[in-house]
Amino acid sequence: MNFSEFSFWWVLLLFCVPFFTVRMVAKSFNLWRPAFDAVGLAAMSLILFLNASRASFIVFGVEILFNYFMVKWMLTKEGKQARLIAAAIIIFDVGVLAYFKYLTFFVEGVIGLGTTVPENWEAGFPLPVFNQIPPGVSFYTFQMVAFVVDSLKARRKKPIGLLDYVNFVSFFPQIVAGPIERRSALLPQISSFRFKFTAENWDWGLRWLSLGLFMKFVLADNIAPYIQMDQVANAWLVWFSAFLFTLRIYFDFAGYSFMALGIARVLGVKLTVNFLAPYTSQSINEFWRRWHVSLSTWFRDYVFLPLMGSRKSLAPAFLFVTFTLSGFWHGAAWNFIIWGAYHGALLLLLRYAGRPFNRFVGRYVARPQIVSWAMTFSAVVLGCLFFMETNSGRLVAKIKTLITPWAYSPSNFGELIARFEGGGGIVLLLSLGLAITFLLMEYWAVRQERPEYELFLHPWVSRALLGMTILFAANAPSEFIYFDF
Amino acid sequence: MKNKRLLTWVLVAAGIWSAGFVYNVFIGGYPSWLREMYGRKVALAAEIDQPKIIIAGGSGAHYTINSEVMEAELGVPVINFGTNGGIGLNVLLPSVLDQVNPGDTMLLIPEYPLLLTDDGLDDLSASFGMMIGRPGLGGVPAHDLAHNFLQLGVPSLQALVRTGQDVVREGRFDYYGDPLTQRGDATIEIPRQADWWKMRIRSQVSDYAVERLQQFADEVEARGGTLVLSLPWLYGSTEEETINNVQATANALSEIAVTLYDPETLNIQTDSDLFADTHYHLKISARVLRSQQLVEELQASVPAFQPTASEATQ
Repeated sequence: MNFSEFSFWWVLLLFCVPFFTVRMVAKSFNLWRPAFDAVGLAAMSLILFLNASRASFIVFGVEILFNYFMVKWMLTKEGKQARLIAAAIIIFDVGVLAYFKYLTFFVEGVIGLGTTVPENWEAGFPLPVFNQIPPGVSFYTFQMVAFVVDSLKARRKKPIGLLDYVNFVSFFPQIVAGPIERRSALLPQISSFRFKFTAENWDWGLRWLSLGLFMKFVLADNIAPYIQMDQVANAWLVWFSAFLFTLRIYFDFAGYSFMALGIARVLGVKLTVNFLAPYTSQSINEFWRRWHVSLSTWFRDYVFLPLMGSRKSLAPAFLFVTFTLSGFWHGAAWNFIIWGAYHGALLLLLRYAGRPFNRFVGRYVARPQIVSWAMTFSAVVLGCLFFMETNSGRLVAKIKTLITPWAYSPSNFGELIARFEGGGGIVLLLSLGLAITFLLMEYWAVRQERPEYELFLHPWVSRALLGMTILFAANAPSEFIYFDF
Repeated sequence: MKNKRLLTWVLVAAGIWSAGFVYNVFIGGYPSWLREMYGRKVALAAEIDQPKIIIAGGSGAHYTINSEVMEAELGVPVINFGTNGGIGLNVLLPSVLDQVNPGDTMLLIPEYPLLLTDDGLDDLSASFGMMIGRPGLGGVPAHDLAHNFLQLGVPSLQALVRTGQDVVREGRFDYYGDPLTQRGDATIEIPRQADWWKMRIRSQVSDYAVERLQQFADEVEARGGTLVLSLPWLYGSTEEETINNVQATANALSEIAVTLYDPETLNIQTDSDLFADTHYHLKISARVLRSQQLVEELQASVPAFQPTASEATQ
């Protein structure tokens, strides 16, 4: 669901007003059955999904039914048979994801490397070829796959009802862009679902929602217009755009995740906190513990650990493979693969050179943690350059610029400054001021060993964030970046 | 206690949204400028108590006319009622219809987006209707109405910065402040920042627009007025596609009412020097040329404006 589109809130309102009116009236006549709440939630989620994308809804519907009945069958079997069924489900789910997301890249980007692919290859392909990924397919596929594995491993093979499964997989706040929830975390809250509209849930829900709205509409969307993708020759501009993108992607995606958290909390469901102030990290390791937590742990539990098994000596190689795959999950393009491999390589570098380097820095610098933070953040910014640039030719040109000394000329620096003069420059300066203040508040919380977003969730700070969102929200909201994944 | 806590959410949201609404609609935002300009033009039109020419359209009318030149040539009061094409045909037409009195001539100069529309609505349709006290004007769907209503309370950082600059530099709130003449003409000329390119018109007037304009012609007539149409001046392409579409549009409009245009150029201009910031907005000097062209065309095509024999010989 795209929370920045008015149509999401409109459809939600059109559903909620009649539904909760009927619920209230029926309750007063003692006609409402608790199970109707679960039906209401499923209807709400499915209607919102249908409103977001009809084509995607059909794919989703087929996958839900297939997964549900196959898992149900799997739970009646033991040992090898159960494992075979689990494998079949996972192959199907990943196959659907590969078909919608990676087919074009595989044909044009991989086969096209070695041979000439005709321009109209789609016409001769036996299946329809889609240019756009159905919204949410990357996220709900992972949630479905995790459910299969967790159900296979569960000690008690208790069958699950269809309605509960539908609510588990299609829970509207998180279906399209996560957090990717696990069976053990979400299913107990969703099973036999009841709406819990308590004052506390409303209050906490609105606090998270305000935080998410502020991050997305004020910070991310006011920074977005200043990211200049087409500038390749000026090193200052390339770095500055990568820096702005680094800020934007965090505020955009974390903002979305916190909105999801807030909406779910209003309904009485607690979702995973998907970001933990990642830009306060002092190492790449720490960064990945704080960035997109539900995806990182998914790759750890369902890719890295099963791949490695007992071969612990090969852990570094599997770590690299896992991060490269994680990059590929983000998008069907070479730049995402490079981005994943880059982070995998950084982790290996840290593994082998981290301690000696820290000892070396510690000898000469009074506060080595500042150096560690600066190096980590710079590495993340450079990584964002790979992430943001889907045009391979332009990416290569930008990297060439970054390693060309004269691309850092004073005149190029002057051009950077000149680009942001006038009213637009003031807007950018204020946005950056707000963003940096936000990051400093996160840093303070982390340093005090408090919850990362505690300050922003303070009753009056969260209300102030809502007020600032109403006043400062960008007129033209940009797309959520992770919707493309 | 807990319910009181929830009440504070409502109070904060409602209070700040209301402040944003006041800013947008009454103080410094683009909507406030549009609302004020419309209100001022209504007041100016009301001051004229004799048959007049009302020039209607979007900014392609507002920034293209010198009413005084036309008035001096035609001997009839002329009021420039151009507002903004973004309000859409469905809102533009009823918002000017009220100004028509018996004997008036309604000269409508619609920009092409107004003519190519399939539903008569555009970005500003909903908010403009609300701002002039006629919410839902033009059949705006409830979804758009609600969305735009909500947005009227959201000023944006960009707009607030602009207002801050105005206050510091000029000591006033209205960035878009564009003083009008007594006849409703624009007095400023905004320079173009981007490079020029020739606009293409990729389709002809839509069936919807033809139908809506026919209805408008009937409505103007019912109020005792006469509708006259004109193709706008456009910095545009002279390629076949554009020429054919503009010619077809001119032909279709001519079926509805007298339509003014230069048959040689179809009002497509090839000199960007005539234009200010957009493909429709004219420089102040070019507004005089455009007005003189309209005078000649009105005199040639509308009997009421044909010069008498003595005027013709002078």
